[in-house]
Amino acid sequence: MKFTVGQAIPQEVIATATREVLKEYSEASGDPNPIHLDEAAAKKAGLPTIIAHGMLVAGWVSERARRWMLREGLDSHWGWAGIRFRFRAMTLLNDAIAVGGQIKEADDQHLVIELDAKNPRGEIVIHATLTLQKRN
Amino acid sequence: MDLKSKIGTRSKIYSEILDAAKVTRFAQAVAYPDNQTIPPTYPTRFRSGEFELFDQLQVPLWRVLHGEQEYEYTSDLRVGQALEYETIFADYHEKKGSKESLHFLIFETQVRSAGAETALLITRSTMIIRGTLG
Repeated sequence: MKFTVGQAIPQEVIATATREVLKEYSEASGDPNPIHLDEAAAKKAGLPTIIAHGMLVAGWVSERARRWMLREGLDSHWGWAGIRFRFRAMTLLNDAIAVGGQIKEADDQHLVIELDAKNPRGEIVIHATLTLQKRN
Repeated sequence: MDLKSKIGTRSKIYSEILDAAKVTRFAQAVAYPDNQTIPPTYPTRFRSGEFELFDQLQVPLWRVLHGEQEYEYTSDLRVGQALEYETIFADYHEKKGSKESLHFLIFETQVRSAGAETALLITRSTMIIRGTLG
């Protein structure tokens, strides 16, 4: 097994929460919550401006994991066993989100990685624990 | 509304065929360019039961903040698969903060192959509402 616990998964900027990106995600995901689209609705909810969907940024976290798996040569014999996303801060309109982390557990059958998504203010927006399992 | 007494409320059963065009659009929307595999967050589309329960529990959507999302995958989803899913209002608790109370609503969704008994995947959402409810 070539993986070691503590090995870094370098931080990479994945995407930016522009108005167009939020609108497209609302439609593609079927999430009708107006706090992602409408400034007035966001303010009514006590938010400073419209915010990105937690699950949109969770998708970006998954994309970071996918790139890492590709680079490490983890092929289709590896599949997802579980993912837990904890939403800790907000992604505001036009925030660029960077994702990186490290390997937490590794053996022949399982890999557990932890990834943090950070906004430009350095806040952790999502802390994710992702478990991969070898499919025999 | 006394949310505690509503724990165990179930949505109806929803059916969906995993449609290639919808999967592609979703993957593009989350900057996931791989067209070999379905993004692991795709099951966020199976939230109709959750929305139905928000309605039943009289929780307005604009007040809902996502606290945590968990997925347990038993097998990979495939395009073309016929699925059914249903959501249960699994748990509820409150925390009194210094300024306002926080309400935690937990929803669990089982996604199955149509007609099957065992789940292909289980999703667990923790939703937070701040302030006074009802």
